[in-house]
This record gives sequence, C-alpha cells and structure tokens, in this order.
Amino acid sequence: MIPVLLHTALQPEAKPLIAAKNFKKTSLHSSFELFSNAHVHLVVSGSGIVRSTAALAAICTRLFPETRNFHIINIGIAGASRPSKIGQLCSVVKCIDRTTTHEYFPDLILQQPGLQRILETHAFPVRNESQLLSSDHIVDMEASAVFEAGRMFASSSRVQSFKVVSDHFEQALPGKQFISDLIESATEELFSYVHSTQSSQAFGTGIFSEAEHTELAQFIRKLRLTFSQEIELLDAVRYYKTRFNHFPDSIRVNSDKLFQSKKEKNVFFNSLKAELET
Amino acid sequence: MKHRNFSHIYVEEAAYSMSLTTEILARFKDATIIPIRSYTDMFNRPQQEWQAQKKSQKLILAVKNEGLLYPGTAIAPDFGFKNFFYNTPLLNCVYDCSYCYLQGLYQSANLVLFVNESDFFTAVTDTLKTVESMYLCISYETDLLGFESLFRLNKRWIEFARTTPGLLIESRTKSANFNALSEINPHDAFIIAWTLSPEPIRGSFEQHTPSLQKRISALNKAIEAGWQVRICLDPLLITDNWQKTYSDFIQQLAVDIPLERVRDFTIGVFRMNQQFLKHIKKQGRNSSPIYYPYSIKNGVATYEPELETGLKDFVYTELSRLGIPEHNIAVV
Repeated sequence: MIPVLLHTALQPEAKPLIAAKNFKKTSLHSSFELFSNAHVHLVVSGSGIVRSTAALAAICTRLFPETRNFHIINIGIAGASRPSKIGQLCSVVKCIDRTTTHEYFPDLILQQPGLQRILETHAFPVRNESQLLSSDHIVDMEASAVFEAGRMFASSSRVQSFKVVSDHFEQALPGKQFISDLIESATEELFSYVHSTQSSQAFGTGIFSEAEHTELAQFIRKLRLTFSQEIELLDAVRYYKTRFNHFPDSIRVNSDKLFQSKKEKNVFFNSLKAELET
Repeated sequence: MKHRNFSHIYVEEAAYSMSLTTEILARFKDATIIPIRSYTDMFNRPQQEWQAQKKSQKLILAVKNEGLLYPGTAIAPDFGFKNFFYNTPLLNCVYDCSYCYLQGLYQSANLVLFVNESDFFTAVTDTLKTVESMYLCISYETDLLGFESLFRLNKRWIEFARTTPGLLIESRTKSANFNALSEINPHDAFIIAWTLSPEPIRGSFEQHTPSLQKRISALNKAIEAGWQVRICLDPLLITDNWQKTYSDFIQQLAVDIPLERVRDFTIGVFRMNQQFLKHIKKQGRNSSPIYYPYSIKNGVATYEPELETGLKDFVYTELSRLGIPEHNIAVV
C-alpha cells in the first residue's frame, strides 16, 4: 500500500475527512495538526502558500525521511465564477501561481472524480471575477504550494489537487459548517480516488522492498564503504536482483562479517561485487 | 482506472494556429485540451516519473523554433555519408524499451509533436543550398511508423523527399504498421529501417513492441512494395547464452526475409551517454541492462572492449556467412 498524505488548509475542510476514515490525531509535529489512519495521513496547514509549504516540508521530512514513494493530495474549497455550481467537485489539471506566474501540471494518469478545471492560486482572497485570467478558472490560496513542495519531497507525478466550489467571490466568507458540508458531499469520491492511488500499479515502488532497503543500508553502514563503493555496490545488487528476481543471499550471509584491516575489507568488497556482477 | 493515452492534449499558444494542430485536435475530439505557454513548462518539469507516465501518455503540441536540424553524432551510423544530419519532429516513443536512452535524455515520457512542419522542411532546404547532398535521420528520438496512423509524419517526409533532390532520409522503427504506408508509392530516397532483436530479448526488454515475426512480416511487405529497407541489429545485448540467441536469430532472418533484397545492415552494441544512464538508474527502472557493469569511454557507457568486439564480430560473421557483402554491413 503506497502511503498518501492529504493536505487541507482549514480545519472545517479536514473535519469530514477525519470523521469519514476515523483518523487519529498524532503528536508528530507541534506546529501543525496531523491525523493518521494506517497508510493515509492528513495535515492541516492553515491558509495560504507559506503555511502550506511549511506544513508539507515539516511533515514530509518526518513521515517520509528516506523515500519518495508516497502521494500528496490537496483537498479544499475554491471560488469560481457563475455558472459553476456551489458544491461541484473539481480535479485540477493545471495550476497557475498568480504571484510567480509559474504553472504546475499534475500527471493525469488515474481517472479523477469531478470536473477538470484550471486553478489559479492567489496570495490574497479574490473578491472579484475580473481578477482571474479566465472566467473558467477556479481559485484557491494553497495549491501551487502543494505542487511545489510535493515535487520536492515526492515527485511531480504524485501530487494532485481537488477542489469543491464554495463561492462566487461574494464578500462574506463561507461559514465553517458550510465548508465542512461541501467537503463531506465529496468525501466518498475523494477517498475512492485515494484508494485507487494507493493500490495502483502505475507508480513504481523501486527495485527493492522496504526490508531489502533496510538490509542494504545496514550492510553498507557496517562495512563503512566509501561513497563511490556504496554506489558500485547498489548497482551490483540492482543488477543481480533485476536478473534473478531475488535479493542476493551474499548480502545476508555477510552482514555480520568483521575485518581486521581496510585492505581486507576492500578485497572482500571487490570479490563480492564481482560475484554479484557475474 | 487509468486515463487512456492522449486523454489530455496540451497545446502551446503558438501551436494553435498551425494546420497540423487543427488536424490532430479533430482526430482526438474526446480529449481534454489544456493550454500551455511553452511545451517545456510541461515536458521539462523536474522529478517526473517516466514509468508512471508511460501508463498513460499525454500529447503536447508545440512549435520548435531552434534545433530544427542537428549534425549526426558519432554514436549513430553515418553509412559513409559526409553530410549526416538528424531532426526531431516528434519527441518520445509509443514503445517502452527498457534499454532506451530516451528515458535518460528526457524528463518526461509524454509525447511532444512539433506542428510547424514547414519550418523543419525549410531548415533542410536551406542547408541543402550549402551542401550538395544530405543524409537525414528523422526517427531517432521516436518511432514515426508507430505513430503513422495518427500523425502521418513519414508520409509528409516522403512527399518532401520526392521534391528535394540530394536528400536521402532514414526512418527507423520497431513498428509493424507498414499498412499505414502501403498506399504510398515507394521512393528510393526514403529508407525504412527496421530494428530487429531476437524474440527472447524483445520479450524481456522491448515492452509493447510488435513481435519479431510481425516486424519481419511488415518488413517483407515493404520489400515487396519496392521500398528501400534497412535492417538494424542494434542494440546487441549481452544476455545469458547470447551466442546461441543471436545465432538462432540470424538463421531465422535468413529463412524469413529475402536478405539479398535488403539495402544494408547495421550492427551496434548497447551504448549510452553516461549521464543518461545515470538518470535512468536514479528512476529505479527494474531492468537488468540498465545496471550492467559497463565500462565508460569518452562519456559513453558500453561493454568492455573485448566483449564489445566479440559480440559485434560474432553477429558480423553470422551475417557474412549468409553471403551479405561486407560493404552492406555497417558496424557502429
């Protein structure tokens, strides 16, 4: 099961998601609320680009310090012009950061729920349709940050954003309960997408299993290999595993080996590498 | 569930007005069109996942303003032609060969089609004013025949070659889609070059490609129709029992193809720019040719000289035994 990190800006956006999957609050980070249920995590960042970036950076480095094998999904409300219906679920096919003008493109590999829309991320609340580049676009205040942080910690191909239309740029902000109700109406479709992402074979999980990764890391640490030796050994083990489709026994067998000298270790390293490459 | 290939088409602002764009968008009526400023915004994003994108490739329609014609590189065969060039009207491929250098060359597995075809033609005619002849490879960073039913790029280049004296074109392919060209009259200045590999190697390392038998069948149809046909035995790969694999393979070619009617042959072992290989390794592709302990020479990863020579010589000798003249075999 590939882990998924959900991101919302606001607590009312998170509330129905937490209730739907019985998420439990964790104490992983003191500055941001984090909820978890098995392989799905949910961080509530607060609104805006800076808070979102900070939250994702903090949580990704704690939850996934040594892997990019996870997905990030931003869920929240968005403003839209009429005639977009309030409550309409939208999947983002392109995100334009209106401050930097940078454009982000999620990889559209799995079928997403809702209407496909282009999103503009603004630094300030939009109160007028004329502020948009196109009246077809929807608007939020976080998604570009999620795409930017997402590619740094996971990959460009593993970040998505889903929005529920909450307003037509009226002066009054949507109420908390109203926001929760909007997200709740889309919860089933959103979690169905989360599940398909987790179980999809489309995303590679790498050559080694988690256990093999750990075993290799311990072996490298014990042997005190140089950086270039480490690269050479990893390539040799990858070559072995891609040819024979199993992890080499010689790594396990030699995991507790002790050496009297550096020379002895190097001799062992070279013979092990040659064995793996033969 | 996955999106189908080309479910979304990204169109560069400058590409909207091109007739090829209109033609292609009309063909993909159900696709979602997403406007983009420049194809590089989409194609060159950092940290993309090639293998995931291969599961649902997207099409990008763009305009290429620079690099419409490149001088040939030493890593590719020039067949003795002094003025050897290649171009890239389409980036990326329908197939998914695990040893392919494109996954190291490009950040993305999505396709980019450059729709300003007349600019590509002009670049060739302008260069032909300064050189008396040109050998041009148009399908190096793609497989044009594999996409022929959709884009008709071979057809356009064949018609261009007919009216352009001094131009000899090679279009390299692993496709069996010769039917897409069967209505076109053959032209001697257009070579269809089939890359063939032993079936066990194709099955292991050339995902989504037509079987060897289907490629041979397409190649034979092309010979029968009067086309210039080249056979590329490239890349040759070291696998367990490679001597028997390649010996059986060449025997099969001798039985199934009228080899005396093949224009020429190329032989080349696996070789790849060191940096491309490094990039592919970083992506964690599950394929043994990527992690083979190659030796690096002048920035190119390939087999140790002894092995390289042994493999080339073996295949060369097998071809020679079939009576193929030396001058018809180019060794890269």
